[in-house]
Amino acid sequence: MKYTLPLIILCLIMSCRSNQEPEEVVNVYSHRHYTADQPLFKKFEDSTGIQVNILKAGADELINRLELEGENSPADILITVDAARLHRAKVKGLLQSVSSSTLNTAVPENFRDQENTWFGLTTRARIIAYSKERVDPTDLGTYEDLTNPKWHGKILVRSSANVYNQSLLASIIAAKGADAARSWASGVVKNMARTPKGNDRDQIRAISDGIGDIALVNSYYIGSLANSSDPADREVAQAVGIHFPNQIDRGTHINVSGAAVTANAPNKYNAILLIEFLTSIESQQVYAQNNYEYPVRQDTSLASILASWGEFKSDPLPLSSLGEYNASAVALFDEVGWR
Amino acid sequence: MKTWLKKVCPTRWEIGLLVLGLGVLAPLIVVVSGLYTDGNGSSWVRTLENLTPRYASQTLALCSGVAICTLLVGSITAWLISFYKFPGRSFFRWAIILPLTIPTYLAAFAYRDFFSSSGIIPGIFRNYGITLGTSEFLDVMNIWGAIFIFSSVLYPYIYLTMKASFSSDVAPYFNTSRLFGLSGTQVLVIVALPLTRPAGVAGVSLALMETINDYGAVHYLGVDTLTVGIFRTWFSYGDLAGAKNLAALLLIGGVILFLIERTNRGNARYDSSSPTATSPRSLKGWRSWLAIAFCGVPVVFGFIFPIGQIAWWASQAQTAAWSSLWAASLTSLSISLLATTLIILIATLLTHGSSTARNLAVRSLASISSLGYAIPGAVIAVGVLVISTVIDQSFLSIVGQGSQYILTGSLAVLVYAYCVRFMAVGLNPIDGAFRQRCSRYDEAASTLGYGPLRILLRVNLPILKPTILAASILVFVDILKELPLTLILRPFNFDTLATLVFESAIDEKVAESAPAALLIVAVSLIPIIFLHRLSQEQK
Repeated sequence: MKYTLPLIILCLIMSCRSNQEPEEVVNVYSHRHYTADQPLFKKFEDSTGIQVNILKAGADELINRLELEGENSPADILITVDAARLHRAKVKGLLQSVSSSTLNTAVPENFRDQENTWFGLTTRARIIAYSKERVDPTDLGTYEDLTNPKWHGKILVRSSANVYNQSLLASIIAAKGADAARSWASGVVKNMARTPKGNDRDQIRAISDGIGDIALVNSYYIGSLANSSDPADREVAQAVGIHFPNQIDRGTHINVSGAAVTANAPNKYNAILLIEFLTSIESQQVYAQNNYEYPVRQDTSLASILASWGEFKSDPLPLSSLGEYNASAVALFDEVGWR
Repeated sequence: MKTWLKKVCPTRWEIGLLVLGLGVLAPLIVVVSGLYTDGNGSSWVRTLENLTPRYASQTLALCSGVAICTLLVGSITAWLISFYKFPGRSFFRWAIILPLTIPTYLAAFAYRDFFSSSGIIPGIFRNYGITLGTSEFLDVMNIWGAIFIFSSVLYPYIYLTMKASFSSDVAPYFNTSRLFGLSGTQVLVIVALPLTRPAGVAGVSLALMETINDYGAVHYLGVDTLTVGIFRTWFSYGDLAGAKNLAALLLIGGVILFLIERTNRGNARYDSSSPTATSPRSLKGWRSWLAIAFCGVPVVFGFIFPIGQIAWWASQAQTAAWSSLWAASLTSLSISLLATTLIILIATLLTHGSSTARNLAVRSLASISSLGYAIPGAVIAVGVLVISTVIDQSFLSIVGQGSQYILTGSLAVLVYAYCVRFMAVGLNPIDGAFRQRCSRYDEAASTLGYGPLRILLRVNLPILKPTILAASILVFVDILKELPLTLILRPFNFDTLATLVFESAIDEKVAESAPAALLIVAVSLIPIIFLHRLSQEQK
């Protein structure tokens, strides 16, 4: 008992962060938590000798933390799975502009910020998954078609709280205006098979379970189910087909998962090196093969499963609009009762 | 001179306790004060009009459902175990507590799969080539499912408090009542329930505090509680002011629950001080089968089914990253041990101080420091972050810019946040036992000239030892399962078992998290078994 208190105080003092960072480091705040990422960071460490320190949490929590930490924040890079959050971080002044010709060549203009504050790492399309046995793919056309009464009680989609849906609605606001977007959202709500619950994978499973016939999901989940070690998952993936909406007009809605250098990054140069590494051809191929996401580099060969889904026209909308209209999208969802 | 000073000024002891208590309360104060600086009138109007009705009604519905179910299950099982003998009783005595090892979010993920076509039962049939149909068997992703899932993993709280109360408060009257000709059921309704009402209320309050704080499970199941409202307002709307308003409402609800629990706790404890021999009566025939069923069903739903589903995931998963699992287990174990020691230490000091101090502020400290349990982890995390960044920035302004933060993002801050959040879990049992057993010796010791510290060490600690052990176990298991706080406040490259599970689940690869989930349960099992053996020794 005599020694317990001093011992505890000693432990606490030791658990405070030490000021000595022995070697080169780069500190990453990341919302991505796919298992494909860890080997990439390891590879970067091995080839450059720069240690990668990772903190994983939700993008909003990370942005909040960056705000609270202020000028002395240890973060060098912020990685999110959605462009709207990157835009939000930029608007809050948490990011800085980077000039790197490597990055400008690797990442096409529409997949990075106009002022080079953030760069896309991968893209993902929000597609319509449909039941192969109950739905004729020729009946599917655009996102707007989903409000047609023929889909009453058949649409499965996750909660409006999720950024993927918010960004989809933001893209519709940008394309058609707030009123059209409102009637679209309200039309979809009327056609929902059930109140939104669960994640994208649950929607796909629900198609297989017969609860609904079509679902709005991100493309990579289909790939991940099709290659899952669980035979039940593979069966589910077999039962659904993929449709890329809006091929006849503006194109399918896409979003990026991207990285940005923070405004007060203590290891700015290392941060740029890491982002350049993640957009290199080898890394892009890893993203495609292990996580079924589309690479941002246009000169990467497509993984076979992605190629099997075919080419598609994607919405050329500047991704910063996803961030600009995010607040309106959230308010609209609330108005029409899309839980 | 010395005696005059002693009477007027707070003693060193009291000052130390005040500092300790305030330290635990600080993040809550930060959050509440934010209500006045950030929140303005318009955000409150919007909160009350748009947000509150839906969130409040769902929260009330969930809490009522969970309260009723856990009370029913907890009391009946405690009653059966305490006063009746039937086959399997010694097994059920510890098996009934097993659901405590399963975090609510894990139970939600498991049951979603369990009742669908990708569950363990259809999966086993599939191995033999039989497909059990493709429809979902039962939809748990609604308020009823949530009530069911929460009740199945939270009823042990009520079981523990009721059992302790039955042995100490009711047992003396049990045989007498039977002598007067009352049947078993009549004793239960007329004698036992009124006597144990405080224990029941205390247990239910604890379970309800866990319920309103959960975010992972309710969000996944599609139930919009106040906590979900806070996160949605904060993250989706970016409206920190609105979120803080909802947090204030939640805080009020939590305080009410907390006060109810406090006033009713009285003699409720997790162990019995003077267990009267209950001489359990044997049950024969259909009655014994009924008893087995009543005790078995909660164990099956609360533990067997979820574990079965998770084990099924584990068997289906291709690879498990063993090195990261090992690292995460070590991290989980060490940080839980560290935080538990600290919490128990502070709880013991606060409890002792609150009874021996003459100062009203110090006396009420013990109660108020437990409030952290009623607040969602994320809200506490914001409070803690604000404090640590303020301290760091003022330190840096003295030392000079260019150096790294010392506190923010360190282990110390995370441990501190755990203390704020879980103080109640350690404080409640220790405080209960203290009031019951220790206070009468304090005065005697004090007349013998012992100072407060010596009273604590020499007199009370030995008496409290079993309670302290029991409380340590409960705190340890709770910290092991903790998620939202850890996610927000953790240092770099820091993974606990809970964060591993969460990340796999968020990655929509729930099955990959199975090994980590099983480890959480396995590690939590050890203290539970220890707790059981401890209570055995006392009989």
